[in-house]
Amino acid sequence: MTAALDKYLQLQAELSRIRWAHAGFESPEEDALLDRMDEVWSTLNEADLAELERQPPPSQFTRPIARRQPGQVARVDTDVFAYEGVAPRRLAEVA
Amino acid sequence: MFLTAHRVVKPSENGRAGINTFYYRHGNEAPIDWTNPDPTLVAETYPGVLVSDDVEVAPGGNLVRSYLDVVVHDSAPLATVVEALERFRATALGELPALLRGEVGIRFNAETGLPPEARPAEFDDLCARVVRLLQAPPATTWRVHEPLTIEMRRSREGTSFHLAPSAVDRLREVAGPGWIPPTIRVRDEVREDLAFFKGDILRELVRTLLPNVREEELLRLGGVRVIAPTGLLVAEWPVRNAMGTGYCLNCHRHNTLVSVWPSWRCTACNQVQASNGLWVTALG
Repeated sequence: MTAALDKYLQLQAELSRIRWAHAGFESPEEDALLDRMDEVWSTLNEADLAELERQPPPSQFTRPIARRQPGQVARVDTDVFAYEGVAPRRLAEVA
Repeated sequence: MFLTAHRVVKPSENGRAGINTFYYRHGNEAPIDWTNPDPTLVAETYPGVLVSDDVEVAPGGNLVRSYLDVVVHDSAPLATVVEALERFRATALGELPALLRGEVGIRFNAETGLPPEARPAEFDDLCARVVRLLQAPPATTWRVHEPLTIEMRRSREGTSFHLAPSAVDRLREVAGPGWIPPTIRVRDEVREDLAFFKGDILRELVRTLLPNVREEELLRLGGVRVIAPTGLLVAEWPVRNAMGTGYCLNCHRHNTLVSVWPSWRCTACNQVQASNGLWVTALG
């Protein structure tokens, strides 16, 4: 594995985390990372590309579902600045 | 003490994300076994008194993607917390939620979808924020600024709200010299319908009076408060720990003074004054 392919796989893993962190919404971080991935992609040689084809898809690489179904419960944060003594997070129904 | 950091996403703003960190203290009153504190119990039932924070996305209704909770006695040194966090990272990230019990209680969890190989990096992000807040609370915070004041007036027609001149001056630095502050008028029947001054109503008021100011920017400006013509505090965001007495001659708030003999210090604006200020309220 060349250094370029290794770098590309690292960026791919980072992309997965960024997409997860933003709950599937597109973000400036994702755009910037995709640009970097394009740059590294252009430096991969034939063997790297063949190796990449053989790699299993990264775990949870697909975009997470950001918009939930009505009635679904999710962990949300609390406005701790509006109410004293409240827990900073709670489970709430999100539409 | 309870330290917590969570990564949040604001769906209403196209998934804007950030990490919010909060630092609570407990004193001696909370019914917690500090020899083996339970992170779940503390985080969900006895969070304590919020004393410091570092906020990237204004809290309230954001989706939580991951969180890290640390609970330990108020007197614990930074080194004890850091050592426990390092031990936790080395041993406990295999299953989520990850939990450590002992002198320092730690809990880490993440929403489904975070690949296992990405957990250490996620933990590190939250851990760094927790340690930073414990080490050095941010110098620029709403706590050191006077809140922007909205003055409330009552009339026969209803209630009106407008920004105090000092607030207008400060906001012009952000909004530009040509900005004209609006006034909100609310008829009495509407006011009653809305159960005024509760929770999000203040938020709505702020959105209308300061339409282009994000809540994070509002925090950097010291937050906001609504003051009645008598000087009585009607509502505020963030809530400041008003646990004192008297009347502050500087920020005109009630019940914010604590004794620093032979003077009084306001817990809201930190101004020190010679008397408890109650002679002013007696005039009204």
